[in-house]
Amino acid sequence: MFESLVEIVVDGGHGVRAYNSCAKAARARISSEPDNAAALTLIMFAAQGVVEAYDDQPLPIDAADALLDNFRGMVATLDAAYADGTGEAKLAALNAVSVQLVEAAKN
Amino acid sequence: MFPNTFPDKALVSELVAKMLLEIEAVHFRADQPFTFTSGLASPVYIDCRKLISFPRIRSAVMDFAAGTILRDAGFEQFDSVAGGETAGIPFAAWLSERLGLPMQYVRKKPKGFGRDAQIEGYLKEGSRVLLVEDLITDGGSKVKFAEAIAKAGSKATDTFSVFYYDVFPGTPERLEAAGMRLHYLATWWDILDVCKKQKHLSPEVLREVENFLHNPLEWSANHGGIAELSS
Repeated sequence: MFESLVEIVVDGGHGVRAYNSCAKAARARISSEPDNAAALTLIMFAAQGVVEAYDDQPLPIDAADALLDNFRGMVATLDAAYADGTGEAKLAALNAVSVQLVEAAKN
Repeated sequence: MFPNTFPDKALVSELVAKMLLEIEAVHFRADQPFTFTSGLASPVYIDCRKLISFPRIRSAVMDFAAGTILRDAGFEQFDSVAGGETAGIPFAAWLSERLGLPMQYVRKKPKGFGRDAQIEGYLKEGSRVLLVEDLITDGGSKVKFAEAIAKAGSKATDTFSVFYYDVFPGTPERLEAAGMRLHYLATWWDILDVCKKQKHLSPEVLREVENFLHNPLEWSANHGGIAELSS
């Protein structure tokens, strides 16, 4: 469901511009997928956070890999919950990813 | 103002390369490469922003910059100097002072309203603008800054950077297509020459760096980065 957004990042060599493209793609889907809007908004914030933190500077490749793993994990959490379909599962995933985003922003 | 001296181009390039090495602005990591914003994997990275913290070196670099621009572009070719957010701003400020020209900076994204929402400072409509950055890789961000200047009713006719990668084919042509002539002080080839002369790098690292410089996209693809630059 959301895996294609991760693919944008992977195909772009998980550089900052790729995260920017991912954020734009997530934003573009929000209006056409109202049922997924909350998850897409979190994915957009996650990708945008990488852009804001690392724009204008290169990352050591191990740090870039770690960022990608983290991003992929967040998207996978949302993907799994939205595939399951229950409201509770979706809410739990949204809350979990929100906490991860806040924690990531602290670092 | 600028002291009106015009040292030899090759000498300027060699001196700037030596300065960048002296202040440790050049980083080599063949075993753990860097990932650039474009997604390119690279064994080398240059941080020209370090120059701002070394007043003797930055003063010499900006004198070289003024001499290069006046010699290559002309003395009365610009109405203004604009820095690209963020790294280009201090260099644009020092250069505008030397050239006796107004200065602005160009935001990456618009803020506020109007045609000049990406421009900070006063830019008279119809101005011929020298766009300044710390470095140029493939020229992509310069084209975007030039578009913002055009949107504000002026024209970036030239772009200057302290450092130009000179490894991605078509970069000068890309800038020319956007209406800009390219000016710079040093390239990776100048850094490589100085490294060889000063035996600055081990033969293994030097070999990797040369491999990258001769074929950056292939090197990148072989080290987990992108294989082509997006247009």
